Amino acid sequence: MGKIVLPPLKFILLSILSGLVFLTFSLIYHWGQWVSPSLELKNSLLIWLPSASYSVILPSVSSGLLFTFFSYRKTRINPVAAALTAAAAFFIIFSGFSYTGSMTDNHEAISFQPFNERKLHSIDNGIIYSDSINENNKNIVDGILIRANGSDLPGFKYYQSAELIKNAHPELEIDEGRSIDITPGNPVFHETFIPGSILGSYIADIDSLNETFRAAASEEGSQFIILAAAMTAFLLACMLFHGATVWPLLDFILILGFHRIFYYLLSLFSRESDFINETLFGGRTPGSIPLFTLASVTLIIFLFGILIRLTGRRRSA
Amino acid sequence: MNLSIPKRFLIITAAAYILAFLFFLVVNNIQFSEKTVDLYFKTGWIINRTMLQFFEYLIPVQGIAILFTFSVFYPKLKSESGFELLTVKAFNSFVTVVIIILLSLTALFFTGSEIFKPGFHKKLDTYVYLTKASRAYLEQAETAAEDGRLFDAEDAVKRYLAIKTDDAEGEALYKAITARIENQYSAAEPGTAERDTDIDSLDLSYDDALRLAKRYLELEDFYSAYYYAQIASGLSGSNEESKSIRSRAWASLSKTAPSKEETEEFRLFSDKKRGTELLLSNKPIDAYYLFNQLNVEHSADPDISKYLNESIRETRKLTYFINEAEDALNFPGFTDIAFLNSNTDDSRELIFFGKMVTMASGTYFEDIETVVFNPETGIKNHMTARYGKLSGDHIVLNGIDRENRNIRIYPEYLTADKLPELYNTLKLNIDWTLLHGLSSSGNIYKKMSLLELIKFEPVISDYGWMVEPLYIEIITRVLNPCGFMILSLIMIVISWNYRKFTGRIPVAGFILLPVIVYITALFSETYIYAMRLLCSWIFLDFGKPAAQILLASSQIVLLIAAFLLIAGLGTGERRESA
Repeated sequence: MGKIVLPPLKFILLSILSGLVFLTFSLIYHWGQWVSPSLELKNSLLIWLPSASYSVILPSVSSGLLFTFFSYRKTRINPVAAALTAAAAFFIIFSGFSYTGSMTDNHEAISFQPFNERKLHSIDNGIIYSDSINENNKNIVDGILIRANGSDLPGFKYYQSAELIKNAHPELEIDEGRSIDITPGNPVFHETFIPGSILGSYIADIDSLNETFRAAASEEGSQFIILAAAMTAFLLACMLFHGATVWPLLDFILILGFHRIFYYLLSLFSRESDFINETLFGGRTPGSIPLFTLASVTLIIFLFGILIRLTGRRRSA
Repeated sequence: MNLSIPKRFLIITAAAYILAFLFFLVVNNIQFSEKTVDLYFKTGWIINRTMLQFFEYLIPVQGIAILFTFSVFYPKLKSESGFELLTVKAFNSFVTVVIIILLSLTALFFTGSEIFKPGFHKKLDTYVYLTKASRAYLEQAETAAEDGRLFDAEDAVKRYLAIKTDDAEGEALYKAITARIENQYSAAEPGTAERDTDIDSLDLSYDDALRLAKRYLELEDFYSAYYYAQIASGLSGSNEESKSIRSRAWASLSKTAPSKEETEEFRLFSDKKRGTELLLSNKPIDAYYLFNQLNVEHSADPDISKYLNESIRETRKLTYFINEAEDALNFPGFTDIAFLNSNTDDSRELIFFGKMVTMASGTYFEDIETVVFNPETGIKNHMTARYGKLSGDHIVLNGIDRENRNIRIYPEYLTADKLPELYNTLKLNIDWTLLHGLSSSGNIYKKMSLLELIKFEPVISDYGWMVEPLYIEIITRVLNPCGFMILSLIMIVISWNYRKFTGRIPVAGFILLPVIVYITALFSETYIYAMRLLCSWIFLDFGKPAAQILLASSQIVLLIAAFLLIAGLGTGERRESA
C-alpha cells in the first residue's frame, strides 16, 4: 500500500514546497517590476498574488515530478503509483489554472503617492522642473528639468526620474494649456530587478507558457483539459530519462534540458503561430498550436526515452 | 594516469577556464559588428569583452569543473576483493585540500572582479565612443574638404588621426588636404605682394605728400617727415624740395636716435617690464599674450621663458585654453553628469555636465548647464557654457585662444536676477573625484569598484540621487564571491552524491556538454538572482540594517549548511562494480 500511496503524496508535498519557494520569489519579482520610492511599500507584496500564483503552477509541478521520480531512480516506481502521481499532477495543473487563471492583480490597490502632490513647478516658456523630498530619500530630484516637446527653448538637457511613473498621466498639463509627454521615466528599481540573460529568457518563456494555459483555462474548457493532460504527459515522458545513463546527475540535467528546450519551442511557436499556421497548415487553423507542439514533443521524448532506456539496459545487462 | 583528486581538480579547473576563455573569444569574434565598433578597435574589444564575460560566468565555469572532477573523473581505489572502493577516509583526505583551493580561487575571483571588471566595462564603452567620434570626424573632414573649408577639414582629420593613429585612409586624407592648403598659399603669394605695393603708395599726390612732410618737420616728428618726403621723392624723383626735407629729417634722426641694436634692446626691456607689471597687477592673461609674442621673437631669452611659464600658470587659474579643452574632450570620459550642487531653504542649484574628461593637463567639462532656483519663486540663475576646466574646487568657464587674444568663450547667462560675483567660475560643493559616479549614461556603478561604491554610498543622496540602486549594487558585489564559494561547495555535494556508478566514462556526458554548461549556468544565475532579489526586497521594505543582517546571516547559514553536507557525504562505504 505504501508503495502506491507514498509517491503521489511525496509528489504533492514536494510540489507544495517548491511552489512556496517559487511563490516567494515570484512575488518579489512582480513587486520589483513596480517598486518605486513613491509606492507604499509596506503592504504591497500581496497585490501580485494572483499573477504570482498562476506563474508558479507549472514550475512547481515540474519540480515535484522531477524530485519525486529522482528519489525513485534506484527502486522502480510502482506503475499504479506513477499513474496516481500523474493524476495528481494533472489535477494540480487543471484546478490551479482554473482557479487562478481568471484572477487578476488588483492594480488599483497599488498606492502611489499621487503625482500632483509632488512639487511641480511650471516656469516660463514651458520649461518645468519637478522635485520632491521623500520621507526616506531626502533631496531626491526626480525629473530635474524637462524640455518641452521638441522645443528649442533653453532648458536643462537632462532628464532623470527617480520615479517609476507607471501610474497613468501620460501627459502633464502645464501652463497655458501646453502639455509635456511624461513617458515612463527611468525606472531605477526595475532595472535592479532585471534577471541575467539566461534566467531572463527562461522566465520569459515560462511566462509565455503560463499565458497560453491561462488563456485556455479561461476560454476553452474542453481544449484546456487536453492541454493539461498533454502537459502532464510531457512531464511524465521526461521522467523516462531517470536512469537512462550510468550518471544520475546527467539524467537530471538532461531532463532539465528537455524542459528548457520545450519551453523555448512553445514560446517560439506561440510567437510565430501565424507563420506556422500558414506554412504548415495552409492557413487552416489546426486547433491549438501549443497543444500540437505539446503532443508532438511528448511523443518524440517518449519514444526517445524508451529507446535510451532499452539500449541502456542492454548495455548494463 | 593515477592523479589525486586535488591535482585532477586543478587540472580540470584550468582546462575549464581555458576552454571558457576560448569559447568566449570565438563567440565574440563571431558577434563582433562593425556597426557599433570600428574594425580598428576589434582586437581590444574582443579581448575586453572576453575577459568581462569570463569573470561574469566564472561561477558556472567553476561549477562545471567541480561537476566533472567529483562526478566523472574521481579516482578509484581497489580493495582486496577487487572491488573499487571510495572510503570516507579517502574523501576526507582530499576534500580539505579542495576546499583550500576553492577558498584561494574565491579570493582570486573577488580580487580579479573588483580590480579588472570595472576597467573592462569602461574600455568597452570607450571603443564604442571612439568609433562614433572617429566616424564623425572623418565625415566632418570629408564634408569640409568638399566645401573648400580646408582648415576645418585639417582640424577634423587631425582629431580623427589622434584617435586612429596610422590609419591609412586618414593619413591619405590629411596629405591631400595639406597639399591643397599649400597649393592655395603658393597661388596667393603674388597677390599679397601686389597688395603691399598698393598700400605703400597710399594713393597720395606729390603736393599732399610734400605738405605732410613739411608739417611733420615743423612738429619735429622726424620719422613721419622722412616717411612723407620719401613718398614725395618717389612720386617726383627730380624735386629738390622733397630731397631737402628728407635730408634734414634724416640728419635730425641720426642725431637723436640710438643705434638699431640699442633700440631693440630697449624695446625688449620695456616689454619685459610691462609684462612683469601685468603679472604683478593680476592681469596674467594680458601678460601671457605679451610674453607669448616675445617668446616667438626671442625664444632663447631665459627671462621670457620664465615669465611665460609663470603667466601660463596664473592664466590657468582664471581661464582655460580652448584648444586644450577641445583636444581633451576629444577623448572618452563620463557623460550626462547631473547633480544637486547646493540645497538650502530658499535656493537650490542643479548642475549638468554633458561630458567630463580627465587628462594629465587637467579635468575638462563640456556642455555645462546650471540652474539656481527657489522652489517657490522660480529660476534665479540659468547659465550655460561650452567648456570648462577644473581649478581647485571650482570650474573656470571662460576660455581663451593660445594665439589670438580676440577669440574668447564666455558662459552665457540665460536668466540672472543679478550678476554673480564670480561670473566666470562655478563653485563645486562636491569632491570632484566623485563626479563620475553621478553620470547617468549606462550603468555607471558597473564601472566602479566595490571600494568606490562603499565610499560613495553615504554621500550620494546629498547630491539628489537615490542611494537604493547603489546599495543594491553593493549587495550584488558582496553576494558574488560568497556565491562562488557556496555554489562550489553545493556542486561538490551534488556531483559526489550523484556521480556515475560504473567505471565507464559516459560518452553522452561529453556529447551533452552544452546542455550541462547551460543548466549549470542557469542554476548559478538563479541562485545569485534569488539572493539579490531577497536582499533587495528586505533592504527596500525594511531598511539597511535588516538587509545587512539578512545578507550576513544567509551567507553564513548557507556556508555552514554546505560544509555540513560535505561533512555528511559518504557516511558509509560504497561498493561499486568493477
